[in-house]
Formats: sequence, C-alpha cells, structure tokens
Amino acid sequence: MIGLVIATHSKALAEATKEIAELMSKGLVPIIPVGGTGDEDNPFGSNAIAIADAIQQAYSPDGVLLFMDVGSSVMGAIQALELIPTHMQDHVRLCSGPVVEGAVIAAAQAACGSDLDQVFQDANNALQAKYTQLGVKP
Amino acid sequence: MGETISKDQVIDWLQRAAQTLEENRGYLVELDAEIGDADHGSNMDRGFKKVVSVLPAMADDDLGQILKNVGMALISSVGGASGPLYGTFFLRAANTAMGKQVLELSDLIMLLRAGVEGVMTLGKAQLEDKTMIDALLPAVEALSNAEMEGKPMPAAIRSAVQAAEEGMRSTIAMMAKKGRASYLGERSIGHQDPGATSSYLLLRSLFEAAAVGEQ
Repeated sequence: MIGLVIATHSKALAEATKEIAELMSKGLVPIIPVGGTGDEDNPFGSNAIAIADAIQQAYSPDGVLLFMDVGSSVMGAIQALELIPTHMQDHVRLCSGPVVEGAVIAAAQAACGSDLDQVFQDANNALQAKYTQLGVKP
Repeated sequence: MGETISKDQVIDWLQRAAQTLEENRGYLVELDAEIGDADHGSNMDRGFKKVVSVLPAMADDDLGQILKNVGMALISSVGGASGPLYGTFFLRAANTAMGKQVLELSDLIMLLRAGVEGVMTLGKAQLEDKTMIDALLPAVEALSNAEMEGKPMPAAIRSAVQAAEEGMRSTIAMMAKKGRASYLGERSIGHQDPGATSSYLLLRSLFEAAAVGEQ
C-alpha cells in the first residue's frame, strides 16, 4: 500500500489534513503528518530530519507520496530525500499538488490500489476538478 | 595566525558564530521583518545554540565528522529555510574534510566551495538573487584569488570577509528572486538580505577564530 506524508509549517495543519484525507481512505492508507519545529516559542517551520523519519514510517516498496506546503517545507522535503536509505529514494515522490486537495485525492486513489505513478499524477493535478467547478482557466 | 586552521580553531569558530548570532538576533529579525517572516534571527540563534550544545561530544572527531554533526544539528533545529540551506552547506563542506585534523588554505577553499555549491543546488539560487549566495560566493572567489596571488592565510581570509561584506551590502539594491521576499517583487529593493547578513557574520567569526593568538 502507498503511504502519504503531509509536511506543513504547522503541526495542527498536518494533523487536520490527515484527518480529512482519511475520510477517503478509511484507515487503509498510512498517512503520517509532520509539522512545526517542536519549539513552543517559534512553533511554525519544518525539520528535514523529522520529515525523513515520517517517510520511513509511511514506507513500503509500493512507495510514498510526500506533500508539503510553502517555503522551507519544500527545501526540507528535498533534503529529507537525501536523509533516507538509498534503496527507498526511488520509491518516494515529492508532490507539487496542493496539500489538502492533493492528499484527499491521493488517499482515495491509494485506497483503491492505484500505483505510485498514477497517484502522483492525480495528486499533481488535484486542482483540475476545482478549476472546472469554478470555471477558472489557469 | 598560522598557515593552517586547527581543529580547535574550527570549534572556536563555531562558538564565536553562536555568540555573534545571539548578539545579532534582533538585527537579523529586524532585517527579516522587512522582507520575510521575521524568524531568521531566532532561527539562526536557536540553530547555533544547538550546535554549541553538541560540540563537547565531538572532541575526538575529525573535522569532517564535526562539520557533519553541525549540519545535522542545524537541520534538526533551525525550522526555517536556513535550516536545510546552512545544513547542506555544512554537510557538503564536511565531505571535503573527512579524516582531516587541520585545514590548509587550499582545503579551506575546497570546503567552502563545496558548501556554497550545495546551497546553490538546493536553493536553485544564483548570484544577484538576493540570497546568502551573494555573500558566500564572492568570499570563496576572493579566497581562491588570494591563494593564486600567493597571499598567506591571514590576508586571504581577511579578503574573503571583505568580499562577503561587500556582497552583503550589494543585496540592498537587488530585487529578491527566491524565498518569501520574492513575493514582494520590487518592494524587496532597498533592504539588506538577512541570509547574506548571517553568511557574512559566519565568515567574520571564522576570521576571528583564525586570527586568535596572532596579535
């Protein structure tokens, strides 16, 4: 089963995104939230080592899809990929899709048994349905 | 200042850097408040406090292992984009120093160049993007030129610090192309980049550590 990692600046945001995504996957898909610095005075931020740990928790050879929000989360995600064992690296995809929409689609697709490439593609294009609904042409 | 930098001087550098970043915490926060999210000063201060806390456990390590531990300490504690960036700087630098107990000028150039190139790759940043690269890259070039001119270590590092300071000042006139400051577009012009500033402070601390005992 594909695993998902949700890496955001805020711990609460990552955890809430997991809850929303799990409405679609019903506990079938491992979803690991990781967010914040762990420092009470400056709680918002990212930690590449924590992201690397989360990837390993979510990992199976089926692969892991990693979602991230803004700024340092992106660099933290790229760096986390360097911090995991080499044999896992080819089975992890960094997703450019929006965190909430992407995680919801990915959770649904992964629970249906889609493969990593398919889930990755759908999550990257996660805004398409919203564009159509709102009549927006990006 | 001798013609090499010893392990003790590298450790002294890191301690001086932590102290300088603590002293300049408010200044860096102020710079970052103008064009970013006002956390650079507190992030760097927290990161280097963590570095200092792990230094005593490294007394028997070689320079490569020490710099690697510094990188990991920063990655795990900084929180902002400077965590991965400075973390990568030290991890890449560490790769060039494995097994070494002292650094000659050519080692120092190789070490800093590897660090800067790592930062450029991760941040996808070039000169004049208004980032730490604008302080670091001119410093490495100055160090390299000084070596070719046959300058001794002290003069070479001094010229690198001067180049970093000029590079830092040059970011004032630049428009930011990376990070949150880039969201401001032309409004980012007129402000000194906080990342270039912390990079300059780190190099200045290196010079101070290298110069100890020479007066």
